Amino acid sequence: MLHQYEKAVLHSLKKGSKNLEELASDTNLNRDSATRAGYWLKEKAAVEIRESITQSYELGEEGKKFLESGFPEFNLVKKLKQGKSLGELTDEEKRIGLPWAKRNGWVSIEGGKAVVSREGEKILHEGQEEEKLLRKISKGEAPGREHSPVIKALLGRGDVLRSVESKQLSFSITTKGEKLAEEAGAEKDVNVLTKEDLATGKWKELKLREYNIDSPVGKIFPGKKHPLRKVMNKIRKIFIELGFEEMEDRLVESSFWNFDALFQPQDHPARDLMDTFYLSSPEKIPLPKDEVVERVKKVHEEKWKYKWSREVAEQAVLRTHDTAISPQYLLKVRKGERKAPAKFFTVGRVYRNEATDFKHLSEFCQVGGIIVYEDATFRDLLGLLKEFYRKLGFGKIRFSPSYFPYTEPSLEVEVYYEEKRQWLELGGAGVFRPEVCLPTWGKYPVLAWGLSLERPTMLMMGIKDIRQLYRNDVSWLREARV
Amino acid sequence: MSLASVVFSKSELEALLGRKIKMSELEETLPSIGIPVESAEKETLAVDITPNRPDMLSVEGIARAYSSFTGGKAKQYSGKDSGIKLHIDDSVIPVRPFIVGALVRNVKLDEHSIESLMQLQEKLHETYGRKRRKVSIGVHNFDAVQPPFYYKAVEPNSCSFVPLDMKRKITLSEILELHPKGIEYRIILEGCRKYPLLQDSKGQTLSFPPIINGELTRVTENTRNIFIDVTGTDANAIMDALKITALSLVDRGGELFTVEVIGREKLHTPDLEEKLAELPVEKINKMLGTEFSEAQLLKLLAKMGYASSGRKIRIPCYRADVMDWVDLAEDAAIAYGYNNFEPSLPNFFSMGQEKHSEVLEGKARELMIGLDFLEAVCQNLTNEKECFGKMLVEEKPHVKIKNPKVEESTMLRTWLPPSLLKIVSESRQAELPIRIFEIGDAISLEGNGVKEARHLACAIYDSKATFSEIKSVADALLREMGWEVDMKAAEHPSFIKGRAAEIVYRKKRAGILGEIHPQVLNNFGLEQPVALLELDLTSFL
Repeated sequence: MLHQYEKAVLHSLKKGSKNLEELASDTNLNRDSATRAGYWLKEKAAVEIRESITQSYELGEEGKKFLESGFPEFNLVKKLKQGKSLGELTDEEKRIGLPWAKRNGWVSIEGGKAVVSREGEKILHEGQEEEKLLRKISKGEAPGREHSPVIKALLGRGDVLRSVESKQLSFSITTKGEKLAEEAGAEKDVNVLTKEDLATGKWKELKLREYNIDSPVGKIFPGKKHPLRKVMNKIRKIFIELGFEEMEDRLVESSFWNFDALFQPQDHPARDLMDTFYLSSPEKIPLPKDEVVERVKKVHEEKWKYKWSREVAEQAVLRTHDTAISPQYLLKVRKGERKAPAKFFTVGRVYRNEATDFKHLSEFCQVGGIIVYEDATFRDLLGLLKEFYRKLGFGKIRFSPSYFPYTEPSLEVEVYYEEKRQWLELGGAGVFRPEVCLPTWGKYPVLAWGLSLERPTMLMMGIKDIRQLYRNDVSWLREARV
Repeated sequence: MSLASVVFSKSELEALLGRKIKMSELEETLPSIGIPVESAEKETLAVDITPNRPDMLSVEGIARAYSSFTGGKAKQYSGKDSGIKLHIDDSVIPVRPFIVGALVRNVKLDEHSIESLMQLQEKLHETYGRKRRKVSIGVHNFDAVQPPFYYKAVEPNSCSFVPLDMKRKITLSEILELHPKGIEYRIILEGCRKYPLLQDSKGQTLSFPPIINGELTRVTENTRNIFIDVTGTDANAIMDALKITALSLVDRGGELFTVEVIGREKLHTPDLEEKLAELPVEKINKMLGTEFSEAQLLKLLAKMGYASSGRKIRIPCYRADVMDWVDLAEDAAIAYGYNNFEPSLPNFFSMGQEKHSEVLEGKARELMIGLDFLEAVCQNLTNEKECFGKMLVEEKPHVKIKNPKVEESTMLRTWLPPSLLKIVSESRQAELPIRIFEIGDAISLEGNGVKEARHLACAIYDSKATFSEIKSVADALLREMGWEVDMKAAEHPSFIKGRAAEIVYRKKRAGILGEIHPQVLNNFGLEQPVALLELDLTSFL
């Protein structure tokens, strides 16, 4: 007995062989159901299924860029033709464009000057084959045979063109299938249990067809949390269990809170343009209307011995560490908006003006926290960090001396990574200096830390490239587990 | 934290310590003094030095710290008067006001020690000297010149000399044009009408600070007596740099002599006096959570190079970073060993509390997952083209970065939909439908202030993605959250006309939903329709 899907498939294939798309649309089944029915019929030798691999192409990152703003060698020829000199070219045109243009014979170097050749003139006039190909592919058209030399060249050139293989199924009916289809014409369908069958008791007379439980089924993907979110929430839960209040924080801060209140002198290298994102809009963030500003100024001038500038403190930055929020909570305690002893934490974004690579991001997350308590000790800090990492699943950690301008003692936490037999740095911590505590809270000491979120996540997931965490590739997210 | 990397050979360190050391011992002990080992291959070590310890920017300084940490006696330094005078002319005060000097006699140099001296100078310039702006050091063959020395400012074209690595005399302004160091550091002298110069009694030029020394006083393996000058904008910092440089030569067997610097005041440099500090035993114990006796603390600090006089602690003259008792406490803790402390936990009770917005977000997130959406976590850094241009919308006031390093990151995003469309465009291999959502930051400018809001956005990418599908998602989410909203037809350039609606909550716009405009789909290179919803969660708080 045939399933109704099988019937539909046989009926459709009788009209001619089809690929999966055609079959699904002709039978009005979705792709999964059509595939399943096809495979059931294959078991019965009623249908033949052929798998073929088809090659198609898509644009890589560079390819997209080139399509939009032109190939550097083409732009180069264009500019030279407009009478521009080598000095007026962009870096890319010089670095990438020039070698290619020379290789293609579009320009020649004569007496230290680049000259557009006849071949180059022709290209300017007729347009570039590579560009035409990219346009075609971006429109979803299949490239013809005449394009294959260009395709070959582009595949070998950076991330311009990517080759994509996809699996195609094609279905055709066998003689046995045609016979089955005829017999099935009259047969009563009993694969589906109807409401009527159940109500009337007719089901007792029906023989429900047995399924092949080994047939492939469609893959479905549940909605789920991002791996970083899972780790973030685990961390938040640990701190909440340990009695911490989560701080309300901000990404855009004044240099005052990000640096000055943390006793970083105004000429400190970390405040350099090379490391910190400064803002042109808003350029300044007003300082708090509070005596804390005067107190911070005083401690800088007394201890670092320089003239403190209000303008420098007002410069707006993307916070470079989430410790920027901590002195603001210390001030809240001083003002009585929170009561000491107290514990605060935050998990949030921070920014560094760095080039990104597999180890570094310009935007990433930090786990920050403080304990505001006059009887707190350095040993408490070590104990808290140990407890935190134990709960997170890292049993073996160690501490080494380190340096931050705002903590003393300062330390670094490292975890032992069995797989690599190596100690890996997870974050920094320390006791806030009196120069930080006294102008804000007015009392001493405060235990503080700023830990990495991505590092432990990468260890848990076994990934090596930090960028993977923010790429959100859907196929990766669907498979990712923490 | 910016670290400076110092490279040295194990044999150099051993020579300074006068004993052989196993590599494994070094790799274990150095980090516990606060010197992380970056690499240790064959005989060469690369270590990181934190900015508070410029005195360890050379193998000599590292040896000094290592020696006392492993039981050696703390070194104390002194210098005799050389009788040499260094005069500061008033003309140089507005340009680069401070200079100090020292003489080290009977130094024996070889290839390695010259390399180490050059490395120390370079690292001090780079970090402590803020790329020579604050501090710049010159070392000279003393026997080539004739004291007293004169530090003054001169017209850029009035004086010429042969700078290091050049064969002919050129003027100061030519040095800034032609010499690699001139080109690299001329920015420091930008806007100055006169340039600083250090000359001897015969008018020979030792150096043109902070740019370059003269070829005349080049230090070679044959140099025996070294004159050091340090100029800068900060009187304390140049003194520290002088001490650190001079003492590294003393550690190699040189004898230190002081120089009399005569400006508006007179002083003998370097000043090697050790400051005396109280040792607040009780305060230190309270903060560390320990019960060290005074004697124990003194013993620990001796490991870190501190001597003592009675009950007072003598701060080594080369330590530029010790400001307060907490710095002593840290050094005691390092000497004790961070990993030898028994961890404890703070002994007070407090209630855990998540932040208000997270409660709401957590609920919305669970619902989106229940509605079969996959969560994305995106970065806020973006650029105007991505955030506005590709979406066909006018630029809104937004947070702009003044000093972007790459053109992809020039601002913070004001809304989430571009991030989701980018994800879909980069996930073309994934099976359809793609149902994706994010709860993230949307940052805009309102008046003079920055508004950091939390938004929720979700997108369906599928041949059958429609307005009605996304509307039923919005409807389910809003119903479950208990938010009663109005929806009204909206015209929005990112959406297809007649297929977009605005969500209004308490008479304020709180979101938008609809089918994305085909031009936007093209801009992102998308091949199928997208239905999308964005809500400003902050407006429901």
